Parts: sequence; structure tokens; C-alpha cells
Amino acid sequence: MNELTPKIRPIVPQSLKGNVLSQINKRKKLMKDIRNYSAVAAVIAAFIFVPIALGNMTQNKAMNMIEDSIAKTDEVKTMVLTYSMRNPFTYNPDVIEMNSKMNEMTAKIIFEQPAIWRFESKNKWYFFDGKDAYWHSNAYKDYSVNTEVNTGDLGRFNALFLNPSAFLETVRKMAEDKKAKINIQDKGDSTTLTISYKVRSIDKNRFMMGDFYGWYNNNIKGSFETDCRHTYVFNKNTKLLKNFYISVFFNHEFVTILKSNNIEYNVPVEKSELIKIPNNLSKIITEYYHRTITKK
Amino acid sequence: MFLFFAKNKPISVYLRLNVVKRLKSMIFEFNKKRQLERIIDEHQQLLFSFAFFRVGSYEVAQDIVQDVFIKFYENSHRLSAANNVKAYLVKTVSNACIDYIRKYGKIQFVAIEHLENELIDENERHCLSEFLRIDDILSNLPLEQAEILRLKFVDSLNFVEISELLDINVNTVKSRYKYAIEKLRNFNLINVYNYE
Repeated sequence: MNELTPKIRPIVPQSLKGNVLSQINKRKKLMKDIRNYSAVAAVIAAFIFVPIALGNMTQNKAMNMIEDSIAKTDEVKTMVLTYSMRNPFTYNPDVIEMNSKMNEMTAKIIFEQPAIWRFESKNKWYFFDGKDAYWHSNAYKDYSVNTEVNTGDLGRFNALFLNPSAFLETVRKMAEDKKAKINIQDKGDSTTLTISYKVRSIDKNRFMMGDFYGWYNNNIKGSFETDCRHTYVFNKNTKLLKNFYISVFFNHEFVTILKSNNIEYNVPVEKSELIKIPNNLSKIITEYYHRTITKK
Repeated sequence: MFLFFAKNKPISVYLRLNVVKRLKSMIFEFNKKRQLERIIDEHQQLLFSFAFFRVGSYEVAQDIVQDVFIKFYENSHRLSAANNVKAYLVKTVSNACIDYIRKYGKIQFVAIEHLENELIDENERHCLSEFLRIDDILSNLPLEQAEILRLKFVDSLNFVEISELLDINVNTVKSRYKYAIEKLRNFNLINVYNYE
């Protein structure tokens, strides 16, 4: 023993070993919790960020698809389109009456300058011969001639088919809207684009077709906002629109208000067939701007 | 899913493999803990004493030693190759003590008689008294010489162990030891015959 050697040694606290072991257990539990919480946090982050990222990707894909289709549609020479709308034949062609049945309309268009076209349903028809526009409804038993090119009679929506590129441009703008939810599915030779949107009615059971394309902002008493779904099916090979339909959430279910039955491009269409007027009808000439009506 | 399993291997094989894997993991953990307990039992006295005679506090020494054992356990996969556990632990405790003193400075000690009324263990009071006495003698030496004497007499390490711990040549350890003893003898602080 010497001066530098301790005469007494410290006694190790009895708790030392126990503390080490219990802290190891605690840390292991903590790490396990962190791993679990990290997993939960990762799942939450995935729920938040993945849809945003995928949403942007989907939106870009939709944009590309529509732009391709617009480019191809510009090359189309003729189109025969059959579609059904909840549009009563006595109403303005753009009005959707939810209680109405689906009425079929056929559009035949020759894309020349100017375009020659005819829209016809069981009870009414509209056509343009390159100079004047004619329309007829069984409700009036006469036919009218507008001495100006007037697609207003077709309604803004129906008139879009006279320029399918403009129609697709409208769809593109909708898809571009951040409020829209977009879904794209590939199946066989088709790509289906679904755009979910909010739409406002003009009445308790009535919409204007423009409402479905965001043209109007109705604040009429009795109007309501609800969900609507646009579905556009494109041919993957030709890039052309193959099919489309729109449904709206009404009375606790999605109700189809418009659907295409058939679309044909570049098929032979006879101009004489488009401008045909039945012999049994009398004629009314409408000076469009002066509103003078002459019955013959 | 079941068909997939059934086509390749029976699902019971997967379950068995999973159970075996978990059992192996449990056994590994159990063995690891048993090994740690053995190491704690073997080295805790040396390490606690070592830390106490550096920091001069039971509480701090205990914290340091506990942390070292926990780190040792957590890094044991890297340490399995370490053939000298004692050297590793002493070195780690030494580093922890140096860090502590650097961080908090030299502990300000109160006179031992003032500790009479403190809730302090008898053994701790005597050890603290010894710590102050030895520290007082070693304060007359340069730090590196004082450390050699502390390791030799307080921690009972031999010259080889000291050289490994301080990462210096054994001859350097011996020469520092020699100079330190001579200096303390010249100051009449030690009886030189006790150090031959």
C-alpha cells in the first residue's frame, strides 16, 4: 500500500446493472415504436403526397392525350355522330331536363369551308347548306330558314361538334382545372379519361349543357351544386374520340344525361342528304337580325 | 396467395421457417443479454472506480458507466471482433470522463466535513475523501504524468495496459512514471520505498 493507492474502493451501486438492462429494453421498445410510427408516418405521407404526384402525372398524361386527339381531329373530313341527351324536343337544344327520357340525335357533318351539317332527331332537325340555316320542330309543323349562319339554334354545346377540335379544347381546359379529378385507364385499344367535377344546376331538376363545361355560373334560386362525371374514350391507335358520356349525381345516384351511341369519321356523307326538306312542310323565313318573319 | 405457396412450397414450410427465424432472433437476443450481464459483472467495479476517481462523483460515475455499457451493447455487432473487451471498456470510460470534465469543468468540491449533513453514503464519503487526497498529491504533476500514476495505482493497470490505453510506447509510460515518482519524492509527498 502506498500514498497513491486508495484506501477504500467505491462500491458499485446495486442499481447500475439493472439500470443498464432496463434502459436497453426501453430503447429497444422506443426504436420499435419509432419504426412503427415511421411506418405510419410514411403511409400518411404516401396518402398525402402520392395522390398529388400521381394527380399531376395523370393530368399531364390527359393533356398529352387530348392534344394528340386535337391534332388528329383536325384532319377529319366527315363525321357521323349519334348521341342521346335528356333534352325534351320542345326545349332549347342545350337544356337538360332530369325527368326527360334520353332522346337520340344524329349529327352528320362535312368539314368543308364552310362546314355543311345536319342535326336530326325524331321530332326536330337543323341543317346548314353552306349559306342558310334551317330548322324544324314537330311542335310547330313548319320549318324556318335563318338567312344568317346561325348555329345558335343548335345550342352552344351541340354546335361544338361542328368543330370537334374546339370540343376537345373545352375538354382539355376542364382537365387542366386543378379542381377536377382525373382518372385515366388503358384497356385494349382504348384509353378512357374520366373527369370528375362539380356542376351547378339552373333549376331544381334542370341543367344547361354549358353548365357541364364550366361556361355558366348559375346562382339562380333553387339551383344546386352536385357531382358530375365526364368520360371520354379515345382510340389509342387513331387518337380519335370513340365514345363519351356525362352523368350527374341526382336523387342519390349518378344519372346519365348525355351519351354518344356511335361516332364515325371520314365516312361517305352525301351533301344532298344533309340539306333535304320534307315536301309537306311550309317555310318560314327568318331575318335573323331584323326578326321579320314571312310565312309562305 | 395460398395457391402460390402451395404450388412452390407447402405453407407450413414458410410458417416453420418464420418461426425458426424468430426463435433464432430471440435466442440471439437472449444470449446477447446474458453476455452483457456477464461483462457487467466482470468489469463494473473497475470501470466505476475508474470513472469515480476521474470525476469525483458517484452519480456522474454511474451515469458514465451505464452509458458505456449501453453503447457497448448497441454496438456489440461491431465489437464482436474486439478481442480485448476490458481495454475497450476502459478506453471508452476514459474518453467519457474526459468529455465530461471538458464539458462541465473541474468539479468544485466542498469541504468533506460539510458533507456530513448531506444524504451521502458512508462509502461514498470515504471514497470522496480518498479522491481529494490523491488528487491533491497528483495536482503537483503535469497532467500526462499524473494520469500514468492514477492508472497505475488507482486503477491497478500494468504498464502494457497503460500504454495501450493511452496509445503510447511502453517505454514512454515507464519514463513518465519514473519522472513522476522522482518529482513527488522531491516534494516529500510520498515515501519512495513504497514505489520500488
